[in-house]
Order: sequence, then structure tokens, then C-alpha cells
Amino acid sequence: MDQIKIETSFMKNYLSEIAEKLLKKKLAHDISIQANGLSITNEAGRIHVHVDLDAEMNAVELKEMLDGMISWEEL
Amino acid sequence: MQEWDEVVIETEIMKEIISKSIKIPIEKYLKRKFEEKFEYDVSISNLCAENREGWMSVRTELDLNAEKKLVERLNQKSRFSLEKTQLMLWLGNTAFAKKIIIPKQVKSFLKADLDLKIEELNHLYENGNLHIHLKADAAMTTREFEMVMKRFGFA
Repeated sequence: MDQIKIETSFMKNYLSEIAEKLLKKKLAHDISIQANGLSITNEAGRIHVHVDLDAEMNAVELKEMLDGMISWEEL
Repeated sequence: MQEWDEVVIETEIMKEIISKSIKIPIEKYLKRKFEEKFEYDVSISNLCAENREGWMSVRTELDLNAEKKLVERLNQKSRFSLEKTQLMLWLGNTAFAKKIIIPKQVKSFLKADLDLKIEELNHLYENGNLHIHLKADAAMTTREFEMVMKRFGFA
């Protein structure tokens, strides 16, 4: 069994920084991320991920992010 | 309510993911330092970590393989000498080295006050390639950890 649990503000801020950097690299936009908690468990091959985060962006940034994630034609 | 972080990795798939994620910042650091790419591997066989009340502790067992080119480049840097490292690794089997010499060297390299307990340290230096197997417990304050991450450009 695996378990990852992030609760302290130190690690939450660190995760937020990593997420912001990743998004900036992918989308070239400054999207503000604040991670409020993360837990991942892997029990008998079943992985459960719980993420609690706040993200702030404008409508253009949201559209570009969704365009990068979703192929609208396939929906 | 008291908050703390906890990581326990036991499955192969998560060990692989963590090994990869450890490799990336090291790769970046080496590329920045030497401006070239090297072949090396980090493979974790056991990992438990905890961050509680301002104190971080990590228990890990890992293997590290460094190709000849990386060993040579590191050897050209003044802070790292292959002879000294080899001597330390040979001595690594002795309790004195595990308890005193190596923790002191690691503290000096990281410029951090960490509590390091080495359980196993074996190495194989063959055709210029270096393989290290390490099983250790490390602990330091969260503040100290933050400083180390910043110093090495990971945060």
C-alpha cells in the first residue's frame, strides 16, 4: 500500500509553486495556484487521489487551458 | 488539529514514479552546473517520509548508477574528488565511517545540519561507471530542508 498525505502549509506552498511553474511552462500564463491539501492512496492497485486547490485565472487563460486538455470535436 | 505530511511508498509503480520525479530536478541541477546531459539512474526500493512539527525525516533505500562521463565531470570539480569518494565508499562498510565520516561529508556538501544514519552503503566502481547502494535515515528541520532546496535551485 502507498500513502501520500500533504497537510502542512510548507509542503502545500511547495506543491503550489511546482504546479504554477508547470502550468506556466505548458500554457505560458501566470495562473495562481494555492494547494490546500493532497492525499493519494494506492490499495491493492486501486489508486485514490484527493486534491483540494484554488486556482485563479482569467477567461482567456481558462479557455486555453481547456483547449489544451480537451479535444472538443470528439465530444 | 495538528497537521503533518506523510509519504509511504511500497508498490513498484509508485517507486518508479518517485524515482523519475527525483531524477528530474537532479538532471536540471547537473545540466545547469555542467551544461551537458548525463546518463544516470536513481532507483528507489523503499521510501517513507514524514514532516511533523517542523521536523522532516526520510527513510530510504536506493540505488544510484552514474555513467563514466558524469563521474569524470564531478571529479573535475574541487568539492568532489573520486579518490576521496572512493575511499569514503570503501570505508563505508565500517561503522566509524557510517556513523562519523560520511555524515560529516554529507553535511558539509549540503551545507546543512542534518541527522544522517547510514544502515547500508555499498558501491561498485567498474570501467569508470559508479554504482552506489544506500539505505539510510535522514532528518532535518523543515527550515533547513527549505534552505537546502533553495541552495540547489529546486525551490
